[in-house]
Amino acid sequence: MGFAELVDIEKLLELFESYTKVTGAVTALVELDGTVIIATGWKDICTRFHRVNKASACRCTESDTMLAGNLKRGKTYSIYKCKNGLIDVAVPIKIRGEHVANFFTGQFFTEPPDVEYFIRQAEEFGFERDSYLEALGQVPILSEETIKATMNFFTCLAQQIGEIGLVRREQELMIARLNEKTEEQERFVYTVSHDLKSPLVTISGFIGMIEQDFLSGDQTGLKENLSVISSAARRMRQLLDELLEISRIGIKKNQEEVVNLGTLIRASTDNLSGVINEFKTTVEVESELPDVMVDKQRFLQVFENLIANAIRYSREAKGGSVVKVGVIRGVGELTCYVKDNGIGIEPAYLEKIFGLFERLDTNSDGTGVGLAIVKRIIETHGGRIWAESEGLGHGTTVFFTLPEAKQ
Amino acid sequence: MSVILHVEDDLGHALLIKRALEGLPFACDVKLVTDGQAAVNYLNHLNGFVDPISSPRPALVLLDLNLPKMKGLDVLKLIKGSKDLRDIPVVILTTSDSTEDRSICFENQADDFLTKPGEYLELVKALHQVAEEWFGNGVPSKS
Repeated sequence: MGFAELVDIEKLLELFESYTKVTGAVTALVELDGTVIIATGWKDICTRFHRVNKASACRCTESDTMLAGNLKRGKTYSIYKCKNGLIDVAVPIKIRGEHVANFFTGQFFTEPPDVEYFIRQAEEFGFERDSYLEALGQVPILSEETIKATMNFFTCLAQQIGEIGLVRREQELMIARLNEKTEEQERFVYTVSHDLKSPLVTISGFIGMIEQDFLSGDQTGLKENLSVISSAARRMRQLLDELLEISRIGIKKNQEEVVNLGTLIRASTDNLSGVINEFKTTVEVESELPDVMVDKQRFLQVFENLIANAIRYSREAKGGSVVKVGVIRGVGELTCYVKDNGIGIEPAYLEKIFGLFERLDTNSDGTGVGLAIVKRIIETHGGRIWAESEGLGHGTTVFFTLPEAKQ
Repeated sequence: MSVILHVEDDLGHALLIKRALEGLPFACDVKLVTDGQAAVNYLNHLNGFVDPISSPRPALVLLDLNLPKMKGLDVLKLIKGSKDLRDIPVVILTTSDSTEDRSICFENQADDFLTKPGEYLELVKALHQVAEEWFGNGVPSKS
């Protein structure tokens, strides 16, 4: 991002111009790529003569480049006698340690000039002698103290203003993020209240039905109807429990500890041994898995959830259900995967499955909140999660990343 | 015998509504499908609903909005967008009581919008009204 985007250029220009008016100082504020953002008080000798004539202008460009180059190389201060005889000075502007722009002042002498030299120069470039010498007369002779003071003033000023601009930008970003979060929360509340309504309709509807049956003396459907009511109540309870889980994950985190992925995965498959046996699933876990630094309890949940899903959705796979769990090593991060040979997911739904209450297969159990919890856990550990599938009938792989454990 | 196509993924709700419709003064057969895609297949005689005798054209469609595989709104659009099907009355039957949902459904030519009431007797009353409105006339009653 350029310095010009951090500050109010017009206000800064006003400031620089008034300083120039008082002191006659020359200023230029230049982006790192050479774009001149502000320029004030430039002397006639440069603007009407040196920078206009092609040949002399080349020399100007040369010294501009030279100065900028020195600052790029990290010099705190760069002073240069330009090839046309004047002095230029440049200083870097740093905000929070980052070099963001350059401040130039110049077009002065530190001692009375050699007029003969400039007369020869006029001849060489074909400048009109008298007006050139007049312009020369307007170039100030400044002491080193004055020069230092000018530069100090401008760099401090620019730094301050840049800092203000940075803070303002950060504020804007935070407000945007806050609005996003609020919107997300509002959607969440809407979805939750909506999804709790459904089992409530079932419960009160069935109670009314049972009442009617009782009044007419018909007891045949009673047992079944009562069980529908308890299932609906159970569903509501489950939903509320899982919602509480999700909100808890964001609030409280257990201590992170170093744990071996292989050990963790094996612990989760131990917990799932019932389901694994029931569906006769083959679970293949890659060997030689690395250590990670995670909330052990939460990650047990992650693997249990992902592997359980994989088993359930591949229970009817031809040749038996196979679930593979492993790791792909990347730069600074690990990518874990849980792959199944089950019914797969249509591409359009690959993102939706991590949303709340999204369930693609109404025949399986679970209220559909499991993957949303897993996603939250991964995200609080600084990772990302996504699913890939070539479509229905082609199995699914769920990937998630983890930052590499610091040794 | 008039056929009602009920599109509803919650089996508890489906049972309630079937029961509520049993008290009607005239006969009707309720066909249940549990997702949006199945509803479309039924209406177009595809995929398991090919036989028009076992899958007769409904005189009314009761449509839930929150469906898996294809949302109720998309089913509504498909029905009302089809020359062949648009004459079939579609009554939205949903837990939602939002005015936005209501507006969007009517904008897409829904014939009525009904929020599932919590009280059983209210549900019965509401459904009877719906049935009478859409095929209460000239339909042979149970004899």
